[in-house]
Amino acid sequence: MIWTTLKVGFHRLGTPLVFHRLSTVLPPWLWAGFVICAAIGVYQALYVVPADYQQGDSFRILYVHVPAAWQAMATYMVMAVLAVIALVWRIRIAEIMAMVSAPIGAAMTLLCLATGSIWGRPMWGTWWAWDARLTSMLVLLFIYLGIMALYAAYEDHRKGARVACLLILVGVINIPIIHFSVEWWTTLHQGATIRFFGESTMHPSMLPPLIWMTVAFKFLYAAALLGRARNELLLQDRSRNWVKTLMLKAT
Amino acid sequence: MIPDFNYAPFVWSSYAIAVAIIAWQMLQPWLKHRQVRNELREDLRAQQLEQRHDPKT
Repeated sequence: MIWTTLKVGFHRLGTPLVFHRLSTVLPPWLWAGFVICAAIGVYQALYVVPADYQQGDSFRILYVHVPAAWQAMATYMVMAVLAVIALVWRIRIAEIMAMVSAPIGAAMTLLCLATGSIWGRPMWGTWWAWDARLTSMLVLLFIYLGIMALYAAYEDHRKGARVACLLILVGVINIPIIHFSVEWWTTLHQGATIRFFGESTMHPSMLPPLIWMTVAFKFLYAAALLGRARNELLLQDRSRNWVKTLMLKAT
Repeated sequence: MIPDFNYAPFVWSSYAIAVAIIAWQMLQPWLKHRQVRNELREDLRAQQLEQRHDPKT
């Protein structure tokens, strides 16, 4: 019974009209969630949390750097799941969502690299090093850009999306490389300080803003994803009746 | 209580870049939606005009 309901719900989500309605209603609430979580997170990060005993106030960069890095990798994993759905079941909404995730993931990777570089200058004495973690993160940015370019190169959106979905699946190999790079190679980048399984080496007083910012970035991703997917869907279906009816109603 | 934000430019520049990138993520879908909506309305208007001037209809 539950399985049937879930299955029907999943398939209904794949219909353009239902998805359009969902992607119109949800984003304002998701943006509100983002603003609230980010406001609490930034306030705690800049004002409540004490300075680090070694790095001083520079460590506060962590509260944008780490959530951006996590989101860059999480976005890629979501894209990979969507790519499988798109390739196996040929669900167009999954294709669209996978494709519009790429620029958001690229933005998160860029933010991670930029803040990491700025943090590296006072801590390591250099803006950039060809370190395993930094290099694998740069590769992730190139993969995101490659997916965007590949999708844009095809006039037939569906064909472009299918080819780009294959690239997404090939690129999944880079995610464990990023994650384990600090363990597999001797790197300038520090090892993991926050562990989901096992004890974190970060002081508990420094954790709350990180959690708030991580949740904020999840809201950001979901809101931006739905907003971009709605635009892409409207553009792809511009000659379909449901879009014409929608435009007629709006005028 | 007024916070004392005497952090190094490294901290502020990181947060400034974050604000810029996040602001773009917020604005891009909204701006694009306005553009798409206007484009689609133009298309529809053109189609309606075409139909009106078509002697077959």
